[in-house]
Amino acid sequence: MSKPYTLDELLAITVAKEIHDYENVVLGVGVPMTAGALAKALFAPHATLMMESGIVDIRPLLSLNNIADAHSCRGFSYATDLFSAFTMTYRGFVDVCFLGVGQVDKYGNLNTTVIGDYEKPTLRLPGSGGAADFMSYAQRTVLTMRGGTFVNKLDYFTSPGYLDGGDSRDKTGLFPEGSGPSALISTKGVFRFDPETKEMYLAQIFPGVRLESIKKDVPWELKVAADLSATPRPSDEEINFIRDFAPELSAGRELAVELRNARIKEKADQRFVKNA
Amino acid sequence: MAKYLYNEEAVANLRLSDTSVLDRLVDFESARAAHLKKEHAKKDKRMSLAEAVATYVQDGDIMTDAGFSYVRTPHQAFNEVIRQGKKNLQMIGAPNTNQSFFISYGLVDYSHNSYTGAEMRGIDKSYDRALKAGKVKILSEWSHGGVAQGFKAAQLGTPGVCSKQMLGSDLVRYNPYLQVIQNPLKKDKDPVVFVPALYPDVAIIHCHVADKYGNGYIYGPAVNDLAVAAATRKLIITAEEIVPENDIRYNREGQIIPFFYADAVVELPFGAVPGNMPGCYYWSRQWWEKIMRFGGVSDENMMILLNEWIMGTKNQFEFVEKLGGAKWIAEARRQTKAAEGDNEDIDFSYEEYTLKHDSGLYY
Repeated sequence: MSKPYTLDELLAITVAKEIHDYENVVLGVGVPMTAGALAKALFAPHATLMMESGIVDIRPLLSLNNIADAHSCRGFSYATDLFSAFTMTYRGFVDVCFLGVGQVDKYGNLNTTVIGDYEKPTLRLPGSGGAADFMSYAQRTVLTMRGGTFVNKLDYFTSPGYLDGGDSRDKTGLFPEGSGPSALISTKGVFRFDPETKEMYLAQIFPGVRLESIKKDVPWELKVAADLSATPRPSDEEINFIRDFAPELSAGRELAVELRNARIKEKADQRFVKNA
Repeated sequence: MAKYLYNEEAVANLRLSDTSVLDRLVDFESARAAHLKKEHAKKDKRMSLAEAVATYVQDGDIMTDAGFSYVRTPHQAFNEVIRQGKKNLQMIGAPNTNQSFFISYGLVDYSHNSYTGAEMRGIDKSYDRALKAGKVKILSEWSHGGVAQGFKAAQLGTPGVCSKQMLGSDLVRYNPYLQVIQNPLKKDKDPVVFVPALYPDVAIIHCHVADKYGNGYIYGPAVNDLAVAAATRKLIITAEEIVPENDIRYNREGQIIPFFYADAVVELPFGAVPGNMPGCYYWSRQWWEKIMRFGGVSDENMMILLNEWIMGTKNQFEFVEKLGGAKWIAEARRQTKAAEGDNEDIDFSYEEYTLKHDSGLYY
């Protein structure tokens, strides 16, 4: 029996297992960054981690704040302009990339542009960023979901999943054959896409989560795998890694802030005394 | 009358009545004319920030965001643009995060949208409010890959590139510059999107060092800046330090912006404050948290902060003083070095700003 863990921790650990050894991986900030570092440390030591900013083979000391920030300025093997990560993906050098979800539909199409009507928005989201580019050309895309929503119809079609399902993505001629989302991982379970219909179905459920609570989030009749299994409990080693690398993810941002603020002032004062 | 043929579906979706406003971004002839007219001789182009901004940032210009949202971004030069009250700007960039400050001051009429937000620090609610209130109009929707290829096409010296980016996304249906055409080499149907070369009017690029002629050296990710420097009609180089030309020639390798692109060179230590200048100083996380969280609450809140920090400071030195002066510098320098594994004390703990807790510290 391993130690207790949070659903956010299990999310990151499950995402990490989508990275296979020797793969080229494009990460974003947040869960994917943490998952990438975990995979590199424990399951996929030969994976090459890349960032949208054009940094290749990064070995981060802690979770990045920004895909081009100081933590990505040293200890990589190659750095170039912003366009290069996208064009490498197009040319077939990227095996898997990770994207966060705003709105997602049953075929894995994404909206990160606007909630509500384009002209009269309820909320303007940050925009595509690199999402549309990566999702079009990465051989596999893993969607990570913390707080996004499942919808029948996207308010805005930012990034292409399997379009209308079936062979519609391949038939357009817009995307490489066989590319597209391979999984959606939320804080409740793992969803995969039916090889024929390309409809999302529930493949794994996180231990302790009830099926009804997942179905409640999904506005369509969610299909569930006949062999629905429980996601394996994380090992102590996995949990410890996450807590060390990305304490915010483990404690939740609020609690992490309080814990940190409680001890930081003293520490900062000590540093300046030391330097005085 | 517009000079070019725009994607009609996008023009309709964006409800643009006069498409001539779109022209200059893709007007190669006028960009080439501007490049021909520039000072081509290797001359000392040093001047003050105020003079550079007054001379080269003009009302109505298409201006680029630079660096990556808060990494090596010319925040202090942007503050001067705000202090000088420039008007009717169009903003483009990938990302286009810092347009939000200009929009708050009513400097921006039009935005070319790609990504506006502070990543781990969240959604930019002030941009959301500005769009809803009609303070700014979106002229085109992009992915980062699309904008990057548009700038790169200009640097490559081509009218545009045939790309596979953004196809199948609504972005193409909301971008008047993009046309989907058939790949002429293919017998079967093979749609490609023509991404035109993008020529902004003015860019300010903050470099680690530059010489007085405008050769600028960048350490860390260049993002779009090498391409933007090549494309833009007018270029202001700001640098942490002005060094002798030989330092660039013999000591620096890699990402160099050649001098003839530059119109003005400004020595601007701490020019990327309160953002991160790789190798020099870390970003002030509390400052950004305050902007996103306190400023996110309402326009009034945002203006309180911006007036305090932008209008309330005359230059970057006063800004650094407000952040904590020498203590801020020491801690920001230690942290950026730690981020690269170059300091024994790998410690990034700090007192995070929340609506409930404000330590008043910025390091």
